[in-house]
Amino acid sequence: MEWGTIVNRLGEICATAVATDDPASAWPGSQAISKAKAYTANAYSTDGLPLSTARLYTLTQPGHSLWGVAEPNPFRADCLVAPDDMNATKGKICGGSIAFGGGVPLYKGKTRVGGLGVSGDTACADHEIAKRVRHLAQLDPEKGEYADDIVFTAADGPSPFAHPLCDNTWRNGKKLGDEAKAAGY
Amino acid sequence: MSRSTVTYAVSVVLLMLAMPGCSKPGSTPAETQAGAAADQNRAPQAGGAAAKCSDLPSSDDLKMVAHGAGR
Repeated sequence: MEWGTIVNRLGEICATAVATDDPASAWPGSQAISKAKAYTANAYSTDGLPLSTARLYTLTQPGHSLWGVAEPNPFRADCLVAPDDMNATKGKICGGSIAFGGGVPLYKGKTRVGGLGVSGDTACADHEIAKRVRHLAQLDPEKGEYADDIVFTAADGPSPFAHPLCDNTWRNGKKLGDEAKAAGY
Repeated sequence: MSRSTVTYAVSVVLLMLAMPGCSKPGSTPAETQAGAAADQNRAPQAGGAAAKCSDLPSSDDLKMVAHGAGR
């Protein structure tokens, strides 16, 4: 059950929705995450360079060039609202920085017009859905729907844009694998 | 041309090449490609796409599209 948020070019929330008639049945925490993903995707993309939140994962790890990028754009506490009060944040800049899949910038031609955030499944699945919603809404980047697609080291080799595999990871209709198991604790 | 004149001319040329203002631009390793950042961050061009909320999908549109995309 997915939450979705759209922000405009200024980062102001334009629309929030949940793909069910009972908003509280979806993960409550995903409402705020979808808003932060929409803000992040718009905030870190430019007219010429689309950057999905999935592509921020490696860049924001310690030792990489965007480590600490979340510090200056915290999520506003007054943007945390009840699931059935989702429209209370319309017009607000809620901020937030998310460095995993589910946020994509929106384009009309060469112009970045906003961002879309999706949350409610694994980060990898959220990215797939966000990408599809953007394409169905005809708001793809100038270079196409895959211009800022999620990148996995396991499938694509080492990359500064790499994102870890999630459980049951699919990309563009192809199963790629599962999240690495933790060991030692 | 006397030997001292040639020596003087060569010295002047060498001195000019050694002055920082006469060095080739973009020769230091820290320099980035000129104009790249400005191009990436340019404002919407005249006639560019409108980017207000009224130009983007509404909550109802988003809910409907999200249903379709999740299948």
